[in-house]
Amino acid sequence: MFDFYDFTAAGFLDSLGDLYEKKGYAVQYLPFVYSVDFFPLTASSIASRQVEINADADFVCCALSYIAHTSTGNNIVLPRVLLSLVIDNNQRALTSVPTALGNLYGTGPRPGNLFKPLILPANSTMTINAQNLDSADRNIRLSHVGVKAFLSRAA
Amino acid sequence: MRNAVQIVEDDYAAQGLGVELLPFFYCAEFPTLGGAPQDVTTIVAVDRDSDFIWFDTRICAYNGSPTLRSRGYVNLRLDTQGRNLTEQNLGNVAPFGGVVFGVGGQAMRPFVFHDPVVLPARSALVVRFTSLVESFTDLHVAFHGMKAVTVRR
Repeated sequence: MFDFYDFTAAGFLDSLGDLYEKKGYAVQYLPFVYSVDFFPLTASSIASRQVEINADADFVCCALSYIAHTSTGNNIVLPRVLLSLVIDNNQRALTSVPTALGNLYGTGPRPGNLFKPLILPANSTMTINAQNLDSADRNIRLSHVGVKAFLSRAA
Repeated sequence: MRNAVQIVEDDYAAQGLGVELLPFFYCAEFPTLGGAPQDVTTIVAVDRDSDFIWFDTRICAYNGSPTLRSRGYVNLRLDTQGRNLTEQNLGNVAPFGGVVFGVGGQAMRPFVFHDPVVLPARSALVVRFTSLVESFTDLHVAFHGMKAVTVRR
């Protein structure tokens, strides 16, 4: 059928560019990162944050990465945090139920790649719900790595 | 040359269907393992609105502290509609058997199938977790892939 190597982000961006072209647009991709902070995510609590996509361009999210620290600044590998992600404009969830942070987000050198990049339209939001299962506060930054798709009318 | 997204779209188009591909994670959660050897099963039900094209598996396991437990033998057995995806030898350290990280890494290094598995809409995935030696307090399994939401053309 196909090989998972065929699902590169670059390949997907090529086909997305073709789609924009059919609609009469030229597209320019520029790397971008949207981040949200839970400073702190308090012990045994639940909190929500929103990723707010700028008005200037759609965002194609290709990978997810995180960094986490204790309240005293020590690095933590894979804190016990459950996450769910919901795209607000259509209420589509990205997970069937909340799951461990480490199942969704990787690190900078080894991010959690999405086989099918996630398109977040300009001016849209995505809500991230986080539940801290630990009995201590955690400082967590979640980063969404991808490209902004700047459109212009094709000549 | 077509890329894989176009290949999938063409496959569905051959059946008279348009398709929208969405990244998605089906999750099997074992939140209260109690810190003792366990043999528990949970069922992951694929939604009725779409097939699921399953690419990789990720697992996070804890013993109550924010660190990983990577020792001991764990067997993760996956059945889909009666078809076993693993051999049932509990001591076998191999994909889907043995040490829990033999069957799934985390997001940074997931266990990727050589060929994606298509789970039809309304099907079910039975996930069995058995810890023979190691004690876990909670285990979180995520199956990463794409929902293929179809519409009649």
